[in-house]
Amino acid sequence: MNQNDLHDEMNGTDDWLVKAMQRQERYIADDGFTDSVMASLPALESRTITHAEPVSGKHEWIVLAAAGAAAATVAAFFPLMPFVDLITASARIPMIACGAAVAAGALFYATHMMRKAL
Amino acid sequence: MGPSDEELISRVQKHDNRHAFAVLVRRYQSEIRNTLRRFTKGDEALADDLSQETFVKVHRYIGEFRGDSSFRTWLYQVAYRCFLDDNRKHRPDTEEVAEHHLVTEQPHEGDAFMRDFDRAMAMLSEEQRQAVHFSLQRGFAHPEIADIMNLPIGTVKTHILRGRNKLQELLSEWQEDSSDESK
Repeated sequence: MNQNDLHDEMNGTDDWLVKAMQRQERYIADDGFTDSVMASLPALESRTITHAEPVSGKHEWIVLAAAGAAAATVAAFFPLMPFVDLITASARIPMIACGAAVAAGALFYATHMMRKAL
Repeated sequence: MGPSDEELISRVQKHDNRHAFAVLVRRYQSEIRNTLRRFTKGDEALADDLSQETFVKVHRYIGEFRGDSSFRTWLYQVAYRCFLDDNRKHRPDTEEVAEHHLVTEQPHEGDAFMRDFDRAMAMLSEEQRQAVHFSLQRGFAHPEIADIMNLPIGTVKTHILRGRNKLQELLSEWQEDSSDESK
């Protein structure tokens, strides 16, 4: 017997059995079942805290290590200027530019962390 | 009539709305518990534990539900897997409990059809019984049952046909009574 024969035969049977079976289904009263399911779900707060956790511990060390590695690379390629040059007029403009870049980076980081916390 | 399943699921997915999820649980708890009671051969405590596990899993994975099938089909798929997993883990215990329940289960007083029906169902193979339940009692289409039971559609059709034929044969007296009443 192929699948089409099976299908035809099933469609041909009357539905008294289906009706009898569906009539016999008894409704089970909730009786606290839904409450016990809801009590088993993870708490909303813990899920929120997971998303809002700031970068800390291990992550903070990763950020610091990356910054250190970047600084070492720069120092290797561009030897540090003598200290006296830092106080001459020629060194002021690059220092101001570096300071501005660091401040912008810090502002971006702080904004990012605040957005995560909220 | 309350909000549709789709609306409720969307609220749970977007905002983890607990009220919406509770409405879904209340909507389906009776049929899921009934199905699992049938599959665990009347072990109400085990069936209710599995039902609870089903809804907790549905909540955990609801973000992955994309609506390729209906929510009801997906819910039954999760419930059926919970049942199978438990059955694999505790097969010897489950059989002991099942036998115990079959022996001690009281007949449904004043409900002779249900008693005969339960006896007839016990004559089917486990997969025939499950496929017949999903088809005749739950009204799922064959492709949906194939999804729920993770079986080829041809196998599902064969299980249903053979199970249904056996039930009709075993309950033929009731069929005659039913046709007499309708005359």
